[in-house]
Amino acid sequence: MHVCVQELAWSSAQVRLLSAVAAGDPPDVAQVGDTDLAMLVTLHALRPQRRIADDLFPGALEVTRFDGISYGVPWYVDTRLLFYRPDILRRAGFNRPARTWSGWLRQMRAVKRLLGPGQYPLLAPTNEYEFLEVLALQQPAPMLRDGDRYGNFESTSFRQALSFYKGLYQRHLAARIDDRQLVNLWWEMARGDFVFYVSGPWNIGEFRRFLPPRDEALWMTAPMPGPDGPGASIIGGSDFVVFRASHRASVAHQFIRYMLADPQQVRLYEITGDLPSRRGVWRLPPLATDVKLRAFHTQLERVRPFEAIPEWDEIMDGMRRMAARVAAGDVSVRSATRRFDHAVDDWLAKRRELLARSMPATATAPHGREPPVDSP
Amino acid sequence: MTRKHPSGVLFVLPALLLLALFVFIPLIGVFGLSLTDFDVYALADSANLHLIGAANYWHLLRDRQAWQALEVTLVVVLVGVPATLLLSLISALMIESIAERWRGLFRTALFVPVVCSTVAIAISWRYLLNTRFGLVNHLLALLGLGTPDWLGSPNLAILAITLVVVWKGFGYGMIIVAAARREIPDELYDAARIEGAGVRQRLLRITVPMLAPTLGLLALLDVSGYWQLFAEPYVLTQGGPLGSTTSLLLLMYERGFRWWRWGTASAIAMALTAVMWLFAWVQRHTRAGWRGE
Amino acid sequence: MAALEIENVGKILRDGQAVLRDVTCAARDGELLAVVGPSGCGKSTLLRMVAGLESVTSGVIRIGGQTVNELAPQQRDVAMVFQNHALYPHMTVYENLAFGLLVRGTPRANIDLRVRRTAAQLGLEAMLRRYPRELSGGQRQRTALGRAMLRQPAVFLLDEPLSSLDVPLRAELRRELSTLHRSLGTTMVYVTHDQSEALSLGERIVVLAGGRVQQIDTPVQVYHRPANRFVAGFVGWPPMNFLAAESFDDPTRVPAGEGALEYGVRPECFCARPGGADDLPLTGRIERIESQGSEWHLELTHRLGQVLARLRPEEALRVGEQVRLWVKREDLHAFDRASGLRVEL
Repeated sequence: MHVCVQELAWSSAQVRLLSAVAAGDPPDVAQVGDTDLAMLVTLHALRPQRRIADDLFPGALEVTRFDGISYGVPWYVDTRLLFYRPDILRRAGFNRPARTWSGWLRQMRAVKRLLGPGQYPLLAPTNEYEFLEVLALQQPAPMLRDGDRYGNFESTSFRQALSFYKGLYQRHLAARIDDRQLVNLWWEMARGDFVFYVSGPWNIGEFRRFLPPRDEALWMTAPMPGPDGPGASIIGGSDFVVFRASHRASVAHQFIRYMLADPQQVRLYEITGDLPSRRGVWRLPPLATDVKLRAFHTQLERVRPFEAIPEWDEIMDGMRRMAARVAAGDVSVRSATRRFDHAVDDWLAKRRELLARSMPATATAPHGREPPVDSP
Repeated sequence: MTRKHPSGVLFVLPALLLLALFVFIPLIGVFGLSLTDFDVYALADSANLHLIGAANYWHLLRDRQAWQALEVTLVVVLVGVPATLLLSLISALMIESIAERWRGLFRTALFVPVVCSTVAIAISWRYLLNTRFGLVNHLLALLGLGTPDWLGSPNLAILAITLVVVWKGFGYGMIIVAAARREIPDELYDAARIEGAGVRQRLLRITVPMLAPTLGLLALLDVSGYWQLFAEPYVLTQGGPLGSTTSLLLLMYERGFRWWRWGTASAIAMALTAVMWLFAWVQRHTRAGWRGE
Repeated sequence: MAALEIENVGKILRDGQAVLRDVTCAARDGELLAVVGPSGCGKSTLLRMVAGLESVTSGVIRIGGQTVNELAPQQRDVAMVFQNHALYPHMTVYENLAFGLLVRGTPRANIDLRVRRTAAQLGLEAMLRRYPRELSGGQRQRTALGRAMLRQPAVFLLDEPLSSLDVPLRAELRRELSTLHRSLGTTMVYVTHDQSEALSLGERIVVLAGGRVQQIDTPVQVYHRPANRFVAGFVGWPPMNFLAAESFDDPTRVPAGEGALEYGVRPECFCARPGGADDLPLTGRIERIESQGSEWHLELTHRLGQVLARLRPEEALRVGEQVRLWVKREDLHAFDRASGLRVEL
């Protein structure tokens, strides 16, 4: 089989693929970030996918489903959890990272006392929305309600997540830094500038690339703490999709099947550090033997899917901007979330209209906003 | 003075055609789009495309982000353009006053930022302005002036963006002003010296007014350039922190290319264009009585 | 008002080229001194040195008895009119006139009074609100003059002020300048490359060539007793004819002096018939006749070359014919062939 590969920059891939679809000339197969999947599905650009493997992480599979039909095959998976400095944590008096928010807060305060007032225990770059998304996903109520027709950010659930987030910055436990301002965060972490870092699996490879082997003991991974116990995290990653316009669908499926086979999944991990989407692969070396991957395995079993709608990225970006304002103390949690709900409702107006047209029976909230929903 | 002859039309026709093809027709298209709710749903199915009149524009008027972006853009224009002109003027006069053999070197050095890619420049400045490792803060620290968080605090970030924009832009003006300065006859300065004008008075009463038409033209170019501020904040700050460096064009890009809300994005584009035209019109009608010879 | 003295002034440029060598001349208080010479003779440099726009390499320049070598232009109490007027294009006539007073901090009311008086003197009242580009050449020149006059300087420097104007205008302004000088009574130095302008305007003339003074004298003296062959050839139009003794019909009658001599005869000094017994005849063939109306210019070939003669028109003169012309002995100039200096016969 002859495969032509075209590389796209991650930041512009979505635009290029959508343009190709709009122009009617997409590739046969593409790797698509899972938050970008919804838009392509909305455009009817993708073919439904057959079941290719039985042991895919369920959370990863779920975000490829739209109205019960899967449009993507998870290739590698992604989540957010804690990278941390076990040595410093021990010096502060803790043997392992906390599992609850309150325990985590205690640890960060202790670390802060240890490091001094100018240092920040936590690094969660302000230009990424994933950290707050994780905190919000750990809460019982979803961020959207009524079949993703309205924002649900004014709910107690989200306000609790946002308050926790705000507290981290206002108590100077988290550095107000976006990752562009970091020259070499791995080096900074090894130096002890940060003790906790909320990030994804690619950083395992990056830590090993930028730090010498003797510094391997300076960092470790742990699952996210939750409000009252081990916390959920987001599930993300990248899926293979086959375009509707492709004339070689069966060959495309063959290709995807090949890419998901054990040797290729292991090789992918070895080359990139990206985590295989099939659980079976995790039982093979080197994945099974890497102590730093264990937390990822644990976390991947405890994930919650995001709302797979085309507007999700925009909503999350808006949430990030809103949260930055809250963290800066410009606006209170309550009024920020109220205003943000109105903005989200605006963004979802077209979606509501379409849903109302296609299935009027299920349109449950006909007139404007209802009180926020707090039970799942 | 001007004789009208049909052959003149032939000479401008190719330019007009190109202009029509690449400016007017797209502009009409964008205006059309701005009256619709074109988005990803409309792209999927044209049945989802509605003509919504001026709704996008009314929406913009109530859009906090749009107002903030307008403010950001205006700050860069209102601070950046005078700063650029002043720097262009000063550097041009200095270049013209130094010895011939060094002139080329300085001229080239100061012109380099103009021809460098904006993105490359922005990336370099990102390193220079880094709060903890940047050269700028290193020097400030040596002078005991503290280590400001250039790209992390809203007020400083917009200042830093303006700084980079001005730094990149003034070399162009310098070359133009230097050329215009050379066009001023030496006799005028001789006359002024004999009449009793000192260095300062020759600068303020001869050089600056003689350069005024050139500076006016540069102002127009700079305003139109800075009004379309995009690459610097896109690379340096991504519009943050707290939206303090999101220019109108960056906002348009986000709405259009990131969120596929082409109706809104087109309305922003039309608003940008309208303001630019308004400015060009004002500039045209307020030019000083003297227009060179 | 003051006298201007230039003593042993030299100017050597940075590249070592000597532009002026040992120039000594003076303008008496209230005198109009014309400095004339071919282009590149250093006359403009000399003027600019007086103004303070060029440094003085050697020698002394004094204005009103005070040495000004080290003074800045604005401290010298001089005014200058430039070849291309050097009017400020971004200022109205009024502002151009007022400029010198304005930068010197003169009170506004005083400026206004003087600007209006000067404008009236020069017939510029109606032009005060115009910009230089809206003026005719003559009006521009008057404005430039007015700007110089306004400050009532001790010395008035004019650098080829009329050369950018067309001929009829030049004559008109020459008259005006002359009148103006008489009414102002200011010391003036007038630099020109046009010998006729120097002759008609200057009370005395400095002839400059190759960076050296060739002659300083009144127009009459410069014309009738040129100090050397250069001055003789430069002043007067059409230029003087230079002849050898053998050019004349009878070389033995030509007065001789010491050393080898060259003789000069101005074109207007030829006569068609002898006036006296001492007159020297010169025979030649008429090559060309150019009628100037009141007189004819005759080009004739004689034994050794060509001469140009200005004669009253005469029917008898025809191209191709031989003619004999006469020169009075006192109209004969003689110059040493080696040094070029005038030799009195």
